[in-house]
Amino acid sequence: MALSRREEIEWENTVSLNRQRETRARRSEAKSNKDAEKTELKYERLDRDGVSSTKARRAIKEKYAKMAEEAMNRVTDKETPKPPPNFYKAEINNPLPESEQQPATTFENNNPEEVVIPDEAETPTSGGANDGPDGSNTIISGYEEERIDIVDALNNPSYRFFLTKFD
Amino acid sequence: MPILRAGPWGNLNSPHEDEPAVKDDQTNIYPVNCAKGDWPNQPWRLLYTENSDIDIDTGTAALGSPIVANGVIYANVFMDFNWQATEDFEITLQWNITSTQASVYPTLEWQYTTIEGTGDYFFDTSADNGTIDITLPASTFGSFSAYVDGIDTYGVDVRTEASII
Repeated sequence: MALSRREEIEWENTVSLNRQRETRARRSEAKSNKDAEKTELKYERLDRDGVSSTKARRAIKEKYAKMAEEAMNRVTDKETPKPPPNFYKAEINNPLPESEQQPATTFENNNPEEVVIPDEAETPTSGGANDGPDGSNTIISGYEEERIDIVDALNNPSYRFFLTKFD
Repeated sequence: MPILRAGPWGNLNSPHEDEPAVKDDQTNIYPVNCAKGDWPNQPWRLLYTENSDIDIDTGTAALGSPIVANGVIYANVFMDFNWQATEDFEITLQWNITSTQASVYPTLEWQYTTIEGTGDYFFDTSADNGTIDITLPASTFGSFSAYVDGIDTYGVDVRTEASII
């Protein structure tokens, strides 16, 4: 039995909402893991009076990379909900009257309380060579970040983050 | 242009050495400083030797910290450190040699060499006390040493004090 147009729209919106919730939860988890990783790296450095241990930092990064991979596998293992029978057929055979068609917007756009804050607007966690000029994290695969002391152009002690790679 | 940090200790032939457990001139390595500033985890310092006919002592001292050697016939102070700098900077060598007999024979010497091959040398039978300004050049690694010697003409007592300011 074919669904009515209203039921189809409601179902479609429900699917969309569920996907958004999953995406939001995944982003939140990823951000939480990233924050925890940065905190752990920071304390690893502080525990060693500002001197980083490459071995310890690599172990921390590997731990969080594994957590991120597991989180990704959990998402991809989930079954994508299937549309109800005759959904697409019904849409083709019974297009909405022009007066009932909705503007091409996302679910969030129609629900101001559900607006998702883009990642770029989050509080920047300053720091490393992986941070791009816009604050985004641009990790280069195979490299790891290391803090190295320098003498700056005004004779002051300072530091820079370098991306290093082991053969 | 910034330069990478060397040290924390070292010398011109080996700029990346760990801090030695025993700090004396026998190891032939010295602290590596960032011009006249402190590294985040290592304050500015030099390796000193207080040497006289009755005592010898070694250790590290901060910028401006007086180093004093006491002797009967002679007392001298050696100061050594390395530096890294992106711009020339100035240090001041201060000294004061005294004796209860008020008659001493002072000698002053300093020299530096950079890994780039530049260097300078100074020797003087100077006044009993004074200061001298020394300009150390920008260098990825430079090595400085100074020597102040006091001899008591009558062999009664002598005190030599020196510092890098």
